[in-house]
Amino acid sequence: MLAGCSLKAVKERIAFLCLQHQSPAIMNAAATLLSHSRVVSEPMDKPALQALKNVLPSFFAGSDPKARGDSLSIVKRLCNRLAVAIGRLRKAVSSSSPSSLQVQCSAGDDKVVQLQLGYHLEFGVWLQSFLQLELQPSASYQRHIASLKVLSFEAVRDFFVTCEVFQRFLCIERPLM
Amino acid sequence: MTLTGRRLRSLLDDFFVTAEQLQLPVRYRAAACNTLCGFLEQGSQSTSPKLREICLNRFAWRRLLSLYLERFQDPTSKPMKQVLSTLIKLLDRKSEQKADQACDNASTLLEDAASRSLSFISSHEDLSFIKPAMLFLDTIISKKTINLRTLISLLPSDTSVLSATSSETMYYLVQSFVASVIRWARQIDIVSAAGKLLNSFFSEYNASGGNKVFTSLEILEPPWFQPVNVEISNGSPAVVEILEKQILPGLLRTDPNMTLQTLRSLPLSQLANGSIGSVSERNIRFCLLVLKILGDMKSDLDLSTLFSLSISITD
Repeated sequence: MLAGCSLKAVKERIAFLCLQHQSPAIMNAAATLLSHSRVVSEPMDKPALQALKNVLPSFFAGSDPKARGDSLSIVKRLCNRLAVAIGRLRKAVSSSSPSSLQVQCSAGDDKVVQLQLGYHLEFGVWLQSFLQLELQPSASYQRHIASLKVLSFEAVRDFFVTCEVFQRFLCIERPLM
Repeated sequence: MTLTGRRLRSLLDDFFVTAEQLQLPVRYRAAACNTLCGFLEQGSQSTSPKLREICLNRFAWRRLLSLYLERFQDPTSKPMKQVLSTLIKLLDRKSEQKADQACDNASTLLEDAASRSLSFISSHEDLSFIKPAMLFLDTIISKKTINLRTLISLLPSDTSVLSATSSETMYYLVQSFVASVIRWARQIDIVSAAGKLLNSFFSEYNASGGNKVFTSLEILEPPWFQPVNVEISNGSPAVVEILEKQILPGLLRTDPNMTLQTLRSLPLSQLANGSIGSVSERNIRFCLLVLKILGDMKSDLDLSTLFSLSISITD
């Protein structure tokens, strides 16, 4: 029996479990809980990002437009947070003296900061690929419309620019005439 | 020149008539209310017993209260906040008067006004009186002008509740009151007043030992728990957002014991141990919302200790 659990640990544990619930409202609430932070520049944990990666495809394919709309808002806020976190992590990595950011990040040393930066950027690359996949002709209307809406958000485009994946996204191979 | 009592009453009446005029432009309303309030406040402290009696007269006070309730919906409510302040000051001065009858009159006026405000909130008679009624109650509670037990005894009730023990009655009356206030919080222009009222109500409730009532009744949850939970499950996303941003943070912050009771009322252990299927959707949503708010709170509460007291996880 474990006792004395921190608020953060229990929050994440419950959110992970609720992401598997069948109700879209609960899944959205759990995703909001995972992606939300009082300090917007606080980096996210890798398990939280992985859990969100796992659940985004079902959000995009959902048949309820209202729930889908709520999910897209979550993606927008998530991208905003990740963009700010990446900016601050980069500063921490490149700065010569330890900054207060490292205390905020609860990282403790450069290696951890670099690891955090790594998986944040990796999420950006993954999201870019995922959205491209959702736009393929065989995808359903829900997936198309969700992907297009997400791409229309300025926060998402800024996030891609931050991750330096936007240029790749715009490169579309043209068939030879 | 000494003004007679009749002349003074006539002067006060003229001030009232001007301030009550329907078509008065905003600037003039503010000036009229300032004049009226200034006259009443200064007059209530005058060395002239005649003037004091006129200014502390219960008819003048009731008329001022009606002015406050009826003119609150004007384009600017600033003058009415001045009027509210004057209402409270006059009550305080009336209570300070040595004559027992004056004190009785002050408490009667206060209880009548509180009862009237409470009935506006619990009924659906007139939307325009809700916000001023809530602000009036918030003011008299936070300034401790009224005793909270007295206020609770004035809460509207149905006869089925009256048969319960007095502690249970108090609990269910408070619960019903919270449900009424939260229902009004759906209106965007009323939500901040509703949040302030609930915040000051429960601060005073806890300070006067109210939370010990439900502990002794073996009721786990605070009186606001069920009404908020119901509103979250029935309400639109806009309502949930209002509760999340304007109502719940204040309620969770009022008292560590209340926060602990709230955490214990939530099925956190069940959820954390994976028994999600056994918890209703409504309770899960409420849990997730409370966890989000607690995570946001910059608080003096020792949340980690409260949390560890309320949950245990089996691995």
